[in-house]
Amino acid sequence: MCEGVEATPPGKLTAGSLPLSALGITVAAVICVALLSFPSLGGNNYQLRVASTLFFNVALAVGFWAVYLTGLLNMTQIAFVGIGAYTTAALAIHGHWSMWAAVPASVVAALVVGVVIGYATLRLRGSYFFLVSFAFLEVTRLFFTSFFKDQFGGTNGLTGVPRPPVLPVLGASVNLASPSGYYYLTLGLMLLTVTLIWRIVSSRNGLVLRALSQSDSLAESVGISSFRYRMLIFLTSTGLAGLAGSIYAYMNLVVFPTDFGLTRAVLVVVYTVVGGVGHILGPMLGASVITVLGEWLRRFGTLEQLAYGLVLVVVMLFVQGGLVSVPGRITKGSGRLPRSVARTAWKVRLQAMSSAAWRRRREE
Amino acid sequence: MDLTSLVQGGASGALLASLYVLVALGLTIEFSLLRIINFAHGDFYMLGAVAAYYLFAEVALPFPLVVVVAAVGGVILGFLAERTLFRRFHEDLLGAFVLSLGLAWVLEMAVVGKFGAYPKGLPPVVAGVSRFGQVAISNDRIMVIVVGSLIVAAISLYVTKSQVGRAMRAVAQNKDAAALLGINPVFVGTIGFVLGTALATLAGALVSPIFSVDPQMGVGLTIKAFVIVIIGGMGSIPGAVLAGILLGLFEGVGGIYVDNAQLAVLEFLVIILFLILRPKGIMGSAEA
Repeated sequence: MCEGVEATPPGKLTAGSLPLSALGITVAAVICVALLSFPSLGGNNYQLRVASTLFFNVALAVGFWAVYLTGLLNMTQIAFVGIGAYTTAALAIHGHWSMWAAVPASVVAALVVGVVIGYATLRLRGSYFFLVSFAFLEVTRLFFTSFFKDQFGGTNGLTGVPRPPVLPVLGASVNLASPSGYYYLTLGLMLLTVTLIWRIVSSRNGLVLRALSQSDSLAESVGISSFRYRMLIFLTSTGLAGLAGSIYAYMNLVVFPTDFGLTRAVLVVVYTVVGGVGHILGPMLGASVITVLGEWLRRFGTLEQLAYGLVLVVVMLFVQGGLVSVPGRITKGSGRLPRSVARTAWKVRLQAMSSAAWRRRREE
Repeated sequence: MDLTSLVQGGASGALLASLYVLVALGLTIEFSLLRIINFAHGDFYMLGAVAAYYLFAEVALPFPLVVVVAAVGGVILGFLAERTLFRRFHEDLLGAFVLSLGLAWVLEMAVVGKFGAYPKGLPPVVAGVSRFGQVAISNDRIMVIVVGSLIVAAISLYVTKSQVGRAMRAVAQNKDAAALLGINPVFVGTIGFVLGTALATLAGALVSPIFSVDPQMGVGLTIKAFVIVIIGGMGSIPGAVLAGILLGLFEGVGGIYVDNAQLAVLEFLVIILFLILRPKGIMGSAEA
């Protein structure tokens, strides 16, 4: 799946905010190779587990960010993760479907619901869309909690998802149900998400998406159907969320309605905003940093969640571009005057005032 | 369908309606003046209820004083939040939303740390139950409905008749025009935000003897208030009052026939239909 990143023709990428140079492609390739060989280089099970969570979160953050680019705060994503996970779990447990059938079925299920929701809501703007997407998140959770309890298990969730199979790869066999198996599954999810989203965002469509986030009516006045482009990116994000949900079911082997609630949805917002929305590296960086930080903060109990909230507030107040904007700020300076410039200006003003006062006194 | 249960449902609907209107009023005023959605609004309501728990159940202050203290606390908190956090996010819907999401998270988790994560109940303020024929309503509920309606009436009067209230409506209609006429929109916005927060904390304290107090009580109410603000028309005060009453009665009466989850799914469908058929809301004029 690394080839996807490399094979993208560089000419199409100039529309993105960071054109992929030969250096960029090399770095991406090196990172891909390093990531692929990490389990065989002796990453221990704990590290592999944290890495899987990290990849999963990066995939979610990038999917969320893509819709955010069109000016929509989309809270439905986690609901679609839930739909994917429940579809997989129900089909695998009740229908004894194999992984090869259950995973595509979950993506299709997410897409079908996504088309309906998209048609109903993507014409709405700003706060209206946010409200409906939020309500959809809650309603989906309630749906799995109290409808079709025989199929979905109500509050007890669905337990006993069969383990994913052992795959023969190049003569060797990869047990997908092992930590390194999950590592590869989530790595694949992340690379697929990043590649797909990057291709859309850095193509001409990407320019359109950015135009939409600036002004709908302006974009429509030059003949862009905002609805069509929003639908394209929304469905891409939705299908990927369904895939993520399916993988989630195979990783945890149990699914609960509360797995797909507000907490997780808010965390995805935190990843994206903390990392920065200006570039695809933002949500990737944000999700990585916060996942690792979260592992460390876990020992502090509720303080962990308190810290997420504080980080969100602090970033919104002081680092609005997020983490990815920090290098640029240091080299180029932020919108405000750097402190040294402000101080010099203040000194000049003080001198002028004092010399004016001195001159006045002398004239008297 | 028998009449008794219908009236009983109507009574619990009236209770919900007074709570919803109190909370949604603040949200809609904040939106009309600052063009922001404060996702932490319900958490101010939660803080009011938690304060009432400590002051009423533990310190045993008289209940009217508890409500006043909660409202004053809301004024102070609202002022601080507006000055330190929301001031830079006026008219920035996404930014203000993400910021307030963080604030809501912080408030909730801070309360979990001090108060504990589990619901706690308050003793009744006005003990006993009033009977009207076969319908029984606890006196506390009647107290909340009466006091809540009076406060809503007072706020509506304040906003329509007072100098500041008229300034608020001017800013809500057209900020630049209001500024040209010598109204300071930032100052009026601060007053509106403070008023909204105080209404939320007051509502929390007022209903604390009826609903159990817990740190997670705010989020659900924020969503409800948000629904009301949109159905009523973003920023419209009469719209919010009307939509709040409708939603409260709908839930009160609907609660007799279906369970809460089914009600929520039903509500969602109604909202979607509503947004597609009449996105401006009942009384809204401008699009957000």
